[in-house]
Formats: sequence, C-alpha cells, structure tokens
Amino acid sequence: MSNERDCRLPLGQGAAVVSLVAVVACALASDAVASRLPAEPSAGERDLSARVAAIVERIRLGEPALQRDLPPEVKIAQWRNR
Amino acid sequence: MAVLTGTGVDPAEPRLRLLVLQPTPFCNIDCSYCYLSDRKSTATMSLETLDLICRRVFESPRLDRQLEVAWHGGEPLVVPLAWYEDALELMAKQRPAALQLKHCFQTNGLLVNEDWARFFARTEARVGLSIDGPAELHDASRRTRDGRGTHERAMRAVRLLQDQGVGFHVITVLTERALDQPERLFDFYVQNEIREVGFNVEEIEGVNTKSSLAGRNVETKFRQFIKRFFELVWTAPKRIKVRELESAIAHILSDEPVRDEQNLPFAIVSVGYDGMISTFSPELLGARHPRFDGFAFGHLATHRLSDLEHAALYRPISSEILRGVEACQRDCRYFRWCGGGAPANKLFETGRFDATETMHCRLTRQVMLDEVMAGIEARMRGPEPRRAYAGTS
Repeated sequence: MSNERDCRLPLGQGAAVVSLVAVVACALASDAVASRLPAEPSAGERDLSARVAAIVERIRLGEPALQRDLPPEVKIAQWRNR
Repeated sequence: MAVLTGTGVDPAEPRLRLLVLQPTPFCNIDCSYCYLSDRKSTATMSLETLDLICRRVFESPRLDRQLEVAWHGGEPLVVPLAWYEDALELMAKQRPAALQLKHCFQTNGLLVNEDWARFFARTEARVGLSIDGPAELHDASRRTRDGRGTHERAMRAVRLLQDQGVGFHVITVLTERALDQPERLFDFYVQNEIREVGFNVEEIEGVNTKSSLAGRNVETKFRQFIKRFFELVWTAPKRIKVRELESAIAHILSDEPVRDEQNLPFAIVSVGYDGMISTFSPELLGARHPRFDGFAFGHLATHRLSDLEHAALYRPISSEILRGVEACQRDCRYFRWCGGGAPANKLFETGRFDATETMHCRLTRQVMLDEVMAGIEARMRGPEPRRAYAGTS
C-alpha cells in the first residue's frame, strides 16, 4: 500500500485531504475484505439498487467504523454554485 | 427567535439551510456561459435592505441552528470591502443567539487582494473561486468585456488565499473542450495545491441558451472524462477532493433516499439586491421565462417568508416543481440517489418544471453515479487498473 493509501490519518482538515474516495480505497484494500468476499461478477445490467447494496456491503466490511448516519449535507443534493 | 422546534413548524418540513444573497447583479467580467441577464446593472444592496433581510429571515420558524449565507452575484467583490465589514457586523448583531452563521463568497477572484484575504481569514468565511483549469481552458470562456483573459488574476487570488490560510475551493465549469484533458486539469489542481474542486457543467439556463455539452456524442466524452478523473483521484486521494465524487459516494452510502434542496420550498431562500425574494433554485431569482412573470414571490418590505406560500405566483410554480419530482420518482431509476433534479435546469431545458430528464441531470447525476459505481466495482473485482498518470506525483 502506498502512502497515498495510509488509512490511519484522522478524518478532517489538514495538510492532506481525507476524502470519501480515500476511505473507500482503504476499505477495499483491507485484507479482511479480500479474504471474506468473493470477487463480484461484472456489473452488466444488474439492478442499480443491488449494485449499490453490494458496494455498500463491501465498503462497510472493510471500514466498519464508517458512520451509517451521514451528516445532512451529504444526504442532500446541494446547489452547485457555491 | 425561532431556532429549532417549539414554534409550530412541522418537523418534517425542510429547514432553511442556505440564504443566497445577491449584493449586486453586476459582474466585472463577461463569461461566455453566464446565465445572468442583469450582469451589467451596477445596482447594489443597501444596509437597510440587509437589515430587513435579517429581520425576515431571523424571525422565520424554519431556521435551524446553522445558516449558510452565500454571497453570490454577479461578482460579490465589486461591492466594497467596507460594506461587508458593516454587513457581517449587522448580521452578527441581529442573529438569534443560538444561530450560527457561516459566510461563503463565490467569486471570480479578480478583485481579491491582501485586505480581502485577511477579511476572509478573520471572518472564517469560505471562498469559492471560479477557475476553469489552465489558462488556455479558463481564458476561452472567462474573459473581460473587452475580451481579455482573466486567468492570471484569478491565480493571484489562489496565492493570496493560500498565503492567508483561507479555506477555499475551486469551481470549474466543464465545457466540451475540457473533456479531452482530464490529466491536464488534474495536473493543474495538484501543481497549484488546489485541494478541493467542484465540477459544474456548462448549463442551458437563463440567458445562456446553448451548451457545448449538448452536442451529439458529448455525453460519451463526459463519461470518459469522469471515469478517468476518478482513476486519477483514486491514485492520489489525499491530494484532491472532488465534490462530485464525494457526493456520489456519500449518496451511495446513505441509508436514506437523497433529497434535493432545490426542490424543497424554503430550504434555500434567495434575496436580490433590491429585497425581492425567491426560493427553489437560486438561479431563478432575476431570471425571465415566457411562461412566468418572474420568480420573485415577494418583497421583504411587505412579506414575511411565511407569506410567500400564499403569493399568486408561488402556488403554480411549487405545484409544477412537485409534479416534476413525482414524475422523476415514478420514472427514473436514479431517483433514490438524486432527489428529482434541479427545477431551474428543467425549466430552461424543457420549458417546464414538471419535466423529468435533462442534460444537466444526465451529466451531473446519472453519469456521475454510473462512473463512480463502475470505478468502485472495478476495484472490488481485483487488482486495480494500472493506467499510470504521468504528471505530477
């Protein structure tokens, strides 16, 4: 794992940006995930909800501490000009 | 004072989250894709009008504990800094004790100097800078009225804000020509230590009736751009945070269906320099459309926020917006992760608020979700794709 994937940094502002992309990258890099879940078949035309559910399951398995109750500002599609 | 509950407002009703204030419609530049019709008007908001705004907003039972105040023009920085010193002091004095105000300024950056940067730092205001990437891309659209590019001055603002430790993000409007250059854009942000980026699309809205993204096959190019940008961010996730990628992941992870604040009456309240009030999409304020007399539902001198629901113009518009959201819910498989799209884009692309799919929603919601999901799924299946990024590392 490269330094870019160091999962130990706390969430928050700092010299490095900690983003949800980084959190997901860490979650998928977890050994626990790799050993406990089989590789997913190609997404193809699978139902969108089923695909989302599979992604969420995989991420939460690798990052169990990830909050389920996200703050309101991420549950709402926000106006983009600010 | 009406901060939170106990005021007779249904808890299920949306709270007022964002107050968009237009200190002036005037803009000191003339971007090719601007949607504002009145950007040559030099009218400005008076402190008396701001005082009225405070009274009307701060008495509203829809207030929550925090209110974001977005100063959005025109170009807000053409109004003198001294006015904002007084304005923020006035708002701080008038606000209910339990209400936290968070100010943000969306600016083209041309007028940012040391004084402005210190003001932003002192007031902990958040700044959004409009920069479309490297000079060639930026100056193609973001020019002065006499045709000169504005990139150099916008980048000076980046340095000034960085020197003062002011938190800022960059909003980049994607036009067709940007879609061939994801690496170049990524490189630009990384080299300039721009940590947070939001991608807007060139929208068909207001007086901007055409978009380079509306052409044939452009959606495919847009998809490839997002796919590649996700790859680039994935390889360096601590260097840059892209609002659209973050939102898509947040929406995927959310246990609840996404709602769009632009479809929730009074979740956003927009007030013009003259005290005219609107809600839903902020772009509606001051916009014109053949089907409507305008989108201002009242004036602060004569209307409380709660009065606006009874305005003659409000009911047909809010009903049509609601029908549009219901149609999206019925017909669109992305609704759970979208919330029904942006009313202003529906109106200006299709002529109606009760429309469903738009170019705007295909690009900013559907393609975004598709490509973020596909990117994550690809990495769930096994070793990551090795498409090396040759730029700054």
